[in-house]
Amino acid sequence: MPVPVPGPVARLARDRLRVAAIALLSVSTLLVAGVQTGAVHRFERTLDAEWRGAYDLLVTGPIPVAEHAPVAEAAPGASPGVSPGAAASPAEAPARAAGTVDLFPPNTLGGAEGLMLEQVAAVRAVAGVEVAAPVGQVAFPLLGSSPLYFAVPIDEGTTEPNVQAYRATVRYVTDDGLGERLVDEVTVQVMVDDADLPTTIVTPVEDLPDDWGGCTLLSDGQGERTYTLETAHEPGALRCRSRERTVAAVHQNGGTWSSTDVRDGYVLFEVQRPPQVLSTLTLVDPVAEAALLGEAGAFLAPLTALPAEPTTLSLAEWAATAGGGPAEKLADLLRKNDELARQGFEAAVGEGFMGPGATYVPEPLPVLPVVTSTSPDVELRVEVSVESLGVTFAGTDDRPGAGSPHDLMRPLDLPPALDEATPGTPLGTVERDISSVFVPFVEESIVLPWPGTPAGRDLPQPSRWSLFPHVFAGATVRSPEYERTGEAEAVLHAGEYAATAVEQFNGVSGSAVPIARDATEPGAEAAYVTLPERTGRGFTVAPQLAPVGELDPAAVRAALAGLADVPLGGYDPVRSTLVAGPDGRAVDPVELRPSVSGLGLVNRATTMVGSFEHAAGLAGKAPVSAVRVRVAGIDDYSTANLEKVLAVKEAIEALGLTATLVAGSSPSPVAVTVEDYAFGTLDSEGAQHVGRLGIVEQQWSELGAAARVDVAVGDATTLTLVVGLGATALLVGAAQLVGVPRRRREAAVLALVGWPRGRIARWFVAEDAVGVAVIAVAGAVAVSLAADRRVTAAGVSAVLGLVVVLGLVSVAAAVARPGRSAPALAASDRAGTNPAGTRRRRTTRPQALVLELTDGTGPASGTGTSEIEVVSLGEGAAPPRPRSVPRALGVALFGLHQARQHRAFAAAVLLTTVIVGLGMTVLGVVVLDERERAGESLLATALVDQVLVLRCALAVVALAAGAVLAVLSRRLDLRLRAAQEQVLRAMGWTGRDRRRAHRAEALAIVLPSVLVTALACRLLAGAFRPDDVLLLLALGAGSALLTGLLTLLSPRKDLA
Amino acid sequence: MTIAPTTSAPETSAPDVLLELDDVTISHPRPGEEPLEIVSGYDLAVRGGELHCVAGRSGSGKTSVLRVAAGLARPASGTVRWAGQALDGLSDDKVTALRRARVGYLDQGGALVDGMTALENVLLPAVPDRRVRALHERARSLLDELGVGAREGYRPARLSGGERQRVALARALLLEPGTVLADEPTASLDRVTADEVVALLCGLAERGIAVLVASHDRHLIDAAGTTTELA
Repeated sequence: MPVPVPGPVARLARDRLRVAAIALLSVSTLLVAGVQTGAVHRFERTLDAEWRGAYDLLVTGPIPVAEHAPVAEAAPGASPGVSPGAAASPAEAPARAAGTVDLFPPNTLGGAEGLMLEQVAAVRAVAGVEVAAPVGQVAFPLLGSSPLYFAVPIDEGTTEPNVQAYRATVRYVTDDGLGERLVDEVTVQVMVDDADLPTTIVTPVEDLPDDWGGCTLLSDGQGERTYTLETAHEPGALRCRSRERTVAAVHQNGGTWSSTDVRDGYVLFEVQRPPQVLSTLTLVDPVAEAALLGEAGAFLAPLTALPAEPTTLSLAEWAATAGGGPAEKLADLLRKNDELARQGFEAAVGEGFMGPGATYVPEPLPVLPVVTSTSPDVELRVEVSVESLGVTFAGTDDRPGAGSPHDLMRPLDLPPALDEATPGTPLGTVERDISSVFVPFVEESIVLPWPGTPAGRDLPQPSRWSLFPHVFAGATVRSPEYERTGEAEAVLHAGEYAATAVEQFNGVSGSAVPIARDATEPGAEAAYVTLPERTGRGFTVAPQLAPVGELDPAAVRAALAGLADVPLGGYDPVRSTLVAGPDGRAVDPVELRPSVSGLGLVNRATTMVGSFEHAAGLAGKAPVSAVRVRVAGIDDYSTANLEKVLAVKEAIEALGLTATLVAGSSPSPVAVTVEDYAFGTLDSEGAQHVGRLGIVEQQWSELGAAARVDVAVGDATTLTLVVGLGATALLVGAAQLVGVPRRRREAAVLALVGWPRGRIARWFVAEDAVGVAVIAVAGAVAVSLAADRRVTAAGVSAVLGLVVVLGLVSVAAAVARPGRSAPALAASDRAGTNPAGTRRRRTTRPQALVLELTDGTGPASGTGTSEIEVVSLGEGAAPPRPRSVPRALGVALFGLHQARQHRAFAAAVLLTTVIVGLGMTVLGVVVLDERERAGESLLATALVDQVLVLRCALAVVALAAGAVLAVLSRRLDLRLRAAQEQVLRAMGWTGRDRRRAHRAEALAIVLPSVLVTALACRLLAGAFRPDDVLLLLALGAGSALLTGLLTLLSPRKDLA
Repeated sequence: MTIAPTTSAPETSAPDVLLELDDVTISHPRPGEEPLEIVSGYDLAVRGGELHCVAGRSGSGKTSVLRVAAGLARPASGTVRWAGQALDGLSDDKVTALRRARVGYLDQGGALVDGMTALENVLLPAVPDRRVRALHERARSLLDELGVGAREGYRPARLSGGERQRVALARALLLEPGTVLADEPTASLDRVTADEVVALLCGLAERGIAVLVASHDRHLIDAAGTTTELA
């Protein structure tokens, strides 16, 4: 029976360290490839699902919405092995060459010129266009919306006129996010007659002058309380038969308005209209818009069901048949509105303004149907402070017959003695949130109690002539014009300063907008939005706005929210967060709030959406700001699909329009420096400060974000694969280094028994070949599973090559001088064969190890001098006597000495820590670079975060592989030292002593290793990521330290 | 497992007995078999100035007896005492520290720590107590006395077998132990060198040191005052 000689597999199996290294490399190869594959698959799934927003192309007028084209990397196929990137047209190439990231501001869908609806039709006719949804926006003041009323309780004990004078200061205050600021303040003199008297004054005909009111006074013969009037031009027409008593008058700046409204025990009068702000109406093609929005566009259904020119009557018919909450609500409103009109008509009949027997017939009045939001987004508060100026008139009412009809108000005239300086007695202040004035459709008016009104009493509601506001004029809206100053930086200047009073809108100015106010005047707001074209002058009858549906902009936005979000236009209020002050220093983030004027930095949210068809008279000649085009037949993110989009883009550009590729866009933060801001004040006598607001962060849309992140993540994935496999292969090489001494001893023995060096080398190579074969199998499996087989195969091949080379180096090192390591032959034989008297000169190691002081007289620590030692061997030679001798030797320095003695192991630890540390640093560079190259868009952040988890998993694999190999190396090394440990123990070294020695050895190896690693990481980080040196240094050095500590401080049973 | 307190261990009645094995049984566990019993109920007392040899064939358990006597291994039963101090219940570290003070151990082949000179090897027992400087001259004297003073700067790889044994013996004697244990001290030496080592060990006994050796060297067995023969 032949003596079994172990084959290479068996021999390899007995080398636990090598087996562990090969197993680790195989597992690491599979894991790395698996992680890479997982990353690619996950990334592609997410990108396919998220890369496309609601539309693919944004079509605007001749001037593009964004001056820069998609990023340079966005060429089809530019992403190696992952998925193709987006592409830009040739015209956009120069901008791409500049490498500028293309961003366009939020809510900016319009070019300098609007589009006509005919151009929209041309776009729709382009082959491949699935949806072409135009969008525009007009602004207009809401007239007839809720005024502000005061209710003064009637004094039931007073039966004679009792006119009292008051001074009321009315302040409107809002909050722009920076704090409260004054919107407007007015001071009025109010005359109120709170006597408990009839509301109608009956004047005997004989008491009236013949020419009273230019009318001829006739008696209707029904008694002394009833009289009729007949004008000279309309004989016999009933004009009036009584006069209502004036109960309140408000005097302001020489003007006066009065009230005769007494109801439910209160005198009702209007103090001052609240700030009449511009409301915005987003215009869409409801059919196309619904197709664009999908399920989120269900709110547009009412607009599609109405005729081209709806009236109050056709609207009522639709509301009666449509069903549903909004339709029923509209029907109710229409009924109430009709009732108001009927009451008004009957009152007119009763007042004699209509002919006798006139009957009310509802008229078909023009309406502008809109879907509307009911949630105000602006905060507005009113403070009314009232002072009493005393009773100015009391006693018998002598008004009737006292003269002209104007005498009826005379007791409520402003007494000349009362002026603004007249001291008064404070009655109190009333405060109330009146944000509801920004809601277009409100059934109830705002009624404030007069100071001193007993609490708990219900306040009356004044009568209204219509529940629907009318639209008299409008203006097209142009978004702020940002000046780009950097990749993610911009500057915004205010054009003008806005007032909030509706009268200013109606006034004539060059820009047709209410923006000509002194910036320092309290209440003025910086206007960043401009209104270039005034519209709606052609109305014959001003249409009434009619709410046919409900809009929840937040819900629409939420339904469409995704990583590749694109602005929709009217649905996207711009959120601006102040992050730095005027000096550029960071501040606690402040969410800025919409401006009262609607023209400020933060847009007012869209409160109404209507159709171009219904608002033709209001929208102007070129009402379309932009057309959002969705291309047919697009699903996942692929070159073919992008080519389809590009073909449509070129066809649209052939129409003379600008088409911007927005597929693959994503929101991205931009720091906007806001200049010319009018800082608010609460002091009506003060002056507002105007200057730089600071830096606000806004979410813009980054064009080509998907392509950018695609390329960045693809490159990073490839690099990660290379780093992971390379680091693991190098770790195996380090483990092989540890095995060199053992192989040297084996080689020495084999040499002693007569093996030639080549045969010994083949002996070892056969062992390594088994390991390479195992790794190759693992690599083949990894390649077969990989998403990108080409890259993975290249990586695995490189790893195999590295392993082969390192193995050959290891074999060469082992067999180079096999006789040197033959322990049995070493000392005496060499000494014996040395020719007598031969002297060899060599450089000595340190002669003494000075460790610890025992009597305090010697040096603290250090090494002895290095000297040239003359060693004599052989008979007759003088025995070598060291000139310096050991003076002290301590446990710790013994450990240091061991570190020096076991150089192969120390080198392995050094290599392991350097490889792990550098590997982690390179991985950190890759991740940081990936993040930077991918950009800060929402899509980039989400996708990079997604793959970051897998990158971290890979780092853990590499770190674990390094640590395990290093620990195994340490175990092997300690096993080789078992005899030494036994000697130390036998001579009385306790476990504690030996552990101390090992710790010292550990420090002697780990500290330099970590320092070397840190230096290497520092150089690497400085070369590639100068701004992240500290982070990368901490990552690399920390990993190296962790590996070293795990290696050298791992529990060792033999030291117990 | 219950460890008997140190104080509970019986003290020897003979003060000059420096090494005592009392009713010691040594056995080695074997997987799947009954433990291999080396000695059973073995009693041994070595006094100062006495050279006792544990003799026997290779594999008879001589080294095991010596390792138990040196406190490097624990007996299955029985008590080991050094100068009356029982080792029962003492932790390994305490036994080790006690060994450093009282017992010099010379293993087979004279194992030295690679990479350290002969002198440094001799001084190793002084390191834990920080007495290196104090014992430096004694170490050199011991090397001179044992005839290897000229080799004090040599590393083990450059020493012959006999020189290594002498250096190891010098190391064992550095802290002036009362007992010296030597495991096959002449096994790998030529006859002349082996006889020199035997003479050295006898010299130690003459200086009042209790010497216990394990050997199958007939010269050493003959030189020993008492002998235990293991079957």
